[in-house]
Amino acid sequence: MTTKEYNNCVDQFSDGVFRFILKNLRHRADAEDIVQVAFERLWKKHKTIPSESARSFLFTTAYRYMIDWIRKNERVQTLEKHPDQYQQFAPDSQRSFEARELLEKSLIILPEVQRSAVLLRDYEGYSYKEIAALLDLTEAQVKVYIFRARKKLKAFINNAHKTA
Amino acid sequence: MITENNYEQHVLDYLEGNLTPDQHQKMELFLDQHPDIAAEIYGLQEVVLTPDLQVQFEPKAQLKQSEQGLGMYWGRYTMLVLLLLVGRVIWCLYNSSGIPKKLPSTQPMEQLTAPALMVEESSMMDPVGSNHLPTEKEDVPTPAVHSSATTPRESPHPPRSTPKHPLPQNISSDKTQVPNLDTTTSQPTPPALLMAEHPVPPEVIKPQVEPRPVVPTAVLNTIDVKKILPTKIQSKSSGQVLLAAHIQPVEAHPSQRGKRLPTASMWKRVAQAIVPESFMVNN
Repeated sequence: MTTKEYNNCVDQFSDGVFRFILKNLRHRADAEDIVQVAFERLWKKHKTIPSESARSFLFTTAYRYMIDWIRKNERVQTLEKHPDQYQQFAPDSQRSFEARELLEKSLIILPEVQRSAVLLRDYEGYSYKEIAALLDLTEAQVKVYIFRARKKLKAFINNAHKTA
Repeated sequence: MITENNYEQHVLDYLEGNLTPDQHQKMELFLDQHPDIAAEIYGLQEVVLTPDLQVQFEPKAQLKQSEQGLGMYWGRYTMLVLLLLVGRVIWCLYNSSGIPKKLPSTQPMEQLTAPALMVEESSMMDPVGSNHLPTEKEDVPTPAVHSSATTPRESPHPPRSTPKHPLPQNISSDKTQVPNLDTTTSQPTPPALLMAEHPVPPEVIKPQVEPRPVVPTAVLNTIDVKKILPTKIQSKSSGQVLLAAHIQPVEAHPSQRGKRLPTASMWKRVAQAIVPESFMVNN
């Protein structure tokens, strides 16, 4: 991968990686740090990584670094215990649509692996096979996780409408 | 076969239409047999997250790398090397622009280098302790004829051996010759002879009219101290030339035996021929 191709990767994939990490961590500064680490590692290996593999490398690196970060910090667990705090970390644009806001909120109830699988599928359009490679799972496991995640999201939204 | 244990991994493919016709029929059969599961998956396709495109990674510029790569660094290094070369050239031009090095306006008589006259003299005299004299083949260090204050300036010149010409003619012809310090037979020179031999301009000598005793011990600070003839002359003025009449040759060197040795009157004539009369001391 040339320097120009690397810079193109920055333009193409940095927003996606950032959104993916932000939805998991719900903390902008931490998400930016993780994205920066992922691109730093990509730059260190840019001579050996073809440009076609850059996207998966970035998401894989960012995801693994995020898992390490979650294990070292209990921020996410704390927020899951206190979902009301999520609102202060959420982007302003998220509040534009009520349905979206509700759906985004429902991500909190998902386990980390289900949330990541859904985000990769819906946000980035990854195939199940690619997600399996990224999350170090089997393809069947990915399908099961995503199915369970959607089922929980649907139940969460239905409950929200009933209480409203 | 789709069962309650494995239907989850086929639901998404069923909803997305990725199942084969055979699998699709099996899935519909399974859902007909399990209406609760069919109710679960109903409307599941609508639960799709949509990314908020307004959320962007702002510090993109920090992640980007310069595409100029090595060429940029080559340009910088080239500029640095050029600047160093230009500075070097300017420095060389400045130093070679004819700016003379500053010399001390006055130079003590004791600092004058050993003249060629002393070479002639020492070669004709038998010095005390001649058995310690080094041979011409030996590498003898330059005699330290300087005082403890400063170091004499040496001029590059080939080493000289014993002169071939008689003393008076040689002296007169060597008026402007560079003093020789490398000879193996040279001895430390008394101040008088130093002054008489070395062509020092008057403007250099005149400022030293101030009384300053000449201490022979300053000259004796050499490796050949035993070869210096004893003299107890104390001059009242360092600016005056002490004639060689006070120095008596002891004994001719074996190599010079049979030849005519310079007498005191000869030394006086030589000194008068070199040094202005106003600087002479009449003894």
